Amino acid sequence: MTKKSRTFEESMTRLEEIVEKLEENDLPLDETIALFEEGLGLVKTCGDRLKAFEQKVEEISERNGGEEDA
Amino acid sequence: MSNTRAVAVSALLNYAKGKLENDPLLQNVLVVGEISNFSSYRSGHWYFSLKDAAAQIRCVMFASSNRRTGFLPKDGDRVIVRGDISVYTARGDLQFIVSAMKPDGIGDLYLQYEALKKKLSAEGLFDESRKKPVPKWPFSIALVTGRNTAARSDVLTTLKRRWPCAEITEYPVLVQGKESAAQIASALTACDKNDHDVILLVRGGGSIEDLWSFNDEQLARVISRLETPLITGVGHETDFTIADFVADLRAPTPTGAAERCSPDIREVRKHIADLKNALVSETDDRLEKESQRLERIRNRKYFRSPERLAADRIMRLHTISLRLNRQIDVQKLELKRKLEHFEKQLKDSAGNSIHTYQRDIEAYEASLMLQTDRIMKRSAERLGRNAALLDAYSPLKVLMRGYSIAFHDGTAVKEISQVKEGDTLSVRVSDGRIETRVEKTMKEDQA
Repeated sequence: MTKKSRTFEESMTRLEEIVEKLEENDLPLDETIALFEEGLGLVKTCGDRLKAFEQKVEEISERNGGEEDA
Repeated sequence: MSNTRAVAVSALLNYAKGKLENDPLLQNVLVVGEISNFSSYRSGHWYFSLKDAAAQIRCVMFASSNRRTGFLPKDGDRVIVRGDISVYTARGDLQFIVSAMKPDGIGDLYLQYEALKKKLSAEGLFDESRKKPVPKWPFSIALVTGRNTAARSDVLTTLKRRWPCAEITEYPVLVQGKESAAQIASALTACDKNDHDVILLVRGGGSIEDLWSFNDEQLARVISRLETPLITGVGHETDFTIADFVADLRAPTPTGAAERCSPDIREVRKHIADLKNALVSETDDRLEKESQRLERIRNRKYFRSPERLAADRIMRLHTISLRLNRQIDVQKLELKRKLEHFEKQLKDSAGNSIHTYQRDIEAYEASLMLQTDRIMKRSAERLGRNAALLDAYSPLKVLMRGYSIAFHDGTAVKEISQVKEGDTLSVRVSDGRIETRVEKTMKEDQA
């Protein structure tokens, strides 16, 4: 796996894990809030990453003369 | 049929035709030969001769049968046909009615294919346990396919639509012909070194020979050793190649392969949004739960009426200060008794070195005074301290505000369980006591 997909996958996995933990609802409140903060951070990271990858791929294909036969 | 009677030509031929058509050895037979004089009529029927070095036979393949052949034969093609011997009575020709046709060699290819499939399967190359999971979110995709093929553009279009954030690296190869299998194998090896998330090996539909490079044993072995997950999409839904069996995932078509390898970015975005919502609502729920808990605690009796807390303390202080006062009185009495005792002793032994006694007495007196003083002082201090506290907690102050303390048998009544109907209570109010009797007791929530 490439580094990019590894970190994206890690972020998504962590995010899903956080939601699961919150659903169990047996953590101290402090920890809940910390997880909430981390989770929102990951939501942003994942969304941003998708957008960034998309832009990058677009740039690459433009640099390489656009789409030949798509 | 009699040997002496002349018969009509058609009777002869019909008889021969019937004989041939009823011979099971001449029906549904496989014949191999070369095509000559091929012609395709507007009706869709094919007429040709099938020959070898020494003989030939006229053949017809009706449109209903040749539609399924999948290729248009031409003169010189070696083919295997299946069909029935018959007689075309109008011409007196022996005729072969073809029901199926395959290019010669196909039979061999099928056998080879089946043999290789069996062998590799026995070696475990197709085992599910060998198959690597395909990544959910591949950001680097290797595409191994023919240059400028329809399969290639199908894959690119699909990937661009579904998962535009993946970087696609193309590895153009020949997808048919002698060189093809080796080219594909080395392209796959190169892909494996370049650390892609997934490899797509695709090719559009074709005849079994066209797809033959995907049934190569060496290629199959290369695929089995790949560390990168491989998805194949070769030919149509009905085509299964050896490469498909060894691959980690077989998609029915190139487009299918592109779909299987890529998530739909809209779904991924939605998934992230769902996770975010879950995050927010779970946390909100939790905060709500905690604030309800806090509310419950706030409603507990001491928080609701803090006076009770003070009243309890006041009662305790009151008891302590009473005991203290009593103790001081006792000590005073004792001192007084001691003093009187000495005085008496003094008087009794008057005349006997009165002077000394007097000094002693003075000393005793001084010491006594000092001691008394000290005790008094300490007691006064304690009293003062307690009085200050008392003042702070003064039941009177509370009582002045309209609260009262009810005593039963000298104990403050804090719970209804302490009294029963008919008991006498002494109710302390700010300026005195009220003697009263218990009529009835009620729990607060019933009150």
